[in-house]
Amino acid sequence: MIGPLGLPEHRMLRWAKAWRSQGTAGWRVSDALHRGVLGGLGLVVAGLVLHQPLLFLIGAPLLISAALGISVSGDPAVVVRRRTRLGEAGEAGRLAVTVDPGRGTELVALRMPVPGKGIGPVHLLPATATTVLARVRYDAWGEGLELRPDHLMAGPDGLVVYGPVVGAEARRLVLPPVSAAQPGPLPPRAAGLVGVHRSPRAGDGSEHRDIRPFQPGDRLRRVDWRVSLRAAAAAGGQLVPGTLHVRERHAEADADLVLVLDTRVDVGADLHTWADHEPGVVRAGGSLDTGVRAVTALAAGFLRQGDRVGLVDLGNPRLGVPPGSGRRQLERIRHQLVVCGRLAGWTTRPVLRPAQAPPGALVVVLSTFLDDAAVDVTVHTARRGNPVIAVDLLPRPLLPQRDTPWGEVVLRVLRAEQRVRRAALLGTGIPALTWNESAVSVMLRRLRRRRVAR
Amino acid sequence: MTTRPDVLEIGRGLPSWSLRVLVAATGAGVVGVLAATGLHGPVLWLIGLAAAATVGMPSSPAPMLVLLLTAMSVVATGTGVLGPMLVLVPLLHLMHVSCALAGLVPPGARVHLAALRVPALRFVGVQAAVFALAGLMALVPGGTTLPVLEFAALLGVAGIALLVAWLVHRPQ
Repeated sequence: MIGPLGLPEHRMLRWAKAWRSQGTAGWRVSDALHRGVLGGLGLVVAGLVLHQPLLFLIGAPLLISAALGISVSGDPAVVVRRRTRLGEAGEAGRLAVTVDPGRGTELVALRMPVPGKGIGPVHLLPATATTVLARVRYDAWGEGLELRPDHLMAGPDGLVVYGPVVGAEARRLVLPPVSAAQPGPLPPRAAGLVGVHRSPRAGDGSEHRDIRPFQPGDRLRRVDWRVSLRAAAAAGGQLVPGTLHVRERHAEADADLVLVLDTRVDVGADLHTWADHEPGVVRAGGSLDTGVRAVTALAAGFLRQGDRVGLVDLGNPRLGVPPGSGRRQLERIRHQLVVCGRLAGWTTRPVLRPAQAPPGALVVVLSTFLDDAAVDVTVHTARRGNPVIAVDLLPRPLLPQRDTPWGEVVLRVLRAEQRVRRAALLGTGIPALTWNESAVSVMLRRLRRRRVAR
Repeated sequence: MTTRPDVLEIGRGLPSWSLRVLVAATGAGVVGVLAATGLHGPVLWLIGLAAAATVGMPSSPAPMLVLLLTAMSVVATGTGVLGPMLVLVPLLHLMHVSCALAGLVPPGARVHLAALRVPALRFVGVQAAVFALAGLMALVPGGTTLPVLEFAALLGVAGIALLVAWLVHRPQ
């Protein structure tokens, strides 16, 4: 046999390795059993030989415990019960594992979750419990390790042990919560046929658009007889060509909303914590967490209204969801947000291609705008003709780093840069908002009033 | 909450350091009893140090050291069966059991009282048997023991040793 260094392994070495691995696999004696046997036996013999009854009495319980504690056998196992892999943020549930302790096992040290503490601590339990239940609560969204039942079985008094065995990992996907954001009036699609938004085109909607002279092809039921008779009276009392008028209505169309999330940065309110960010983990209450909750709220609101909503990840263009409608689209976006959160990371060049934002679609860019690249992408999208709203996700109020004299200065520079970037957005006609659940709908109503006034 | 004995819902439990507190209490008890029976000087300090090490490392040779040093002290002081030193019998046994249990769980673990029920009952049972034997020893008249009887006792101990060795090394 060839060893790790590429040299033939000696027979004695192989035997020693096998002997050692045999000592750690399956049931093995603990140091407590050695103490009980050697100490107990030694004290009993010493008590007899030296005629010291107290030594005998001290040694006897140790020896009796050792004799009682070594009758264990079997192959213990811990199995996770079948469960759903999908959860909703804020939900509570129960996890169950089945314990097969083997014969003679008395204690089970089992890692089980407790609410709010990840995979949880190890619990020392009696081996009589073959089903162990644990309550869990899903406070944070994302994909994470939910259960890893590491275990160690022990015989009476822990004198003989089996393990520790690392349990099989069970993961759970917790979807971001859906809060109710007010939807607002979106600019309708030029090619849209049905929907809830008033189109500037004439059509079959319910809102009045204009009254105009009858033309060939107009339906008779659209004729406005009051206006037509007045026109006929003015023309001498005869319904001659040119006196017949029809009522025109606005068409109703659907609309596209593209939610663009900047996943490249995830920062909290305290500048001290900005550097220690673990990749793949979304900071609770941070900018990315706020962004994901905002995207879910907006998507839910507008999809409920019947609009088409899409998602773009500025940091990773492959992870977007093309615009679509319906409840399934909301689930698709929520699943994809979890993936976006897991793969979030810094890229110097955010990407928002024209194909990702259809012509006429309202684009809402959610970013911290901590770098110029995010502003550039937003401005370029507006220049392509899409109506754009920028939502600033930077937490407020920001707290300076306390352990350096430059903390306050850094914060001041950061705020100044932020003001300049927001001013640049406003200068190109892009409204820049701070996120709250009604901010976008208020801004949409204001934009619509401006469009109507024009 | 379920009432089935084979179904256990994880509760809060006790912190794992409560077992270490028990180890510390028994160690302090051993040192206290030895001090009360007139043991002073470096041996008592050494036992105290070993007891302190037992609290930090219950799965180390420290508990064995406490056991051996205490046994040597008992031989040195040479007290009878029904003296105050008899308290050492449950104290050292409790230290042995609590060290064994404390060594099973990592720091930060939770200990559920239901898990300690059977070990506690066994402890009480073993101690009851040992104290019954102590009572019997106190009743039996002292004096010279016949060599045959001593030889039989040693043979009995050797038999117990062989039995334990067989139980430990038999195929599971």
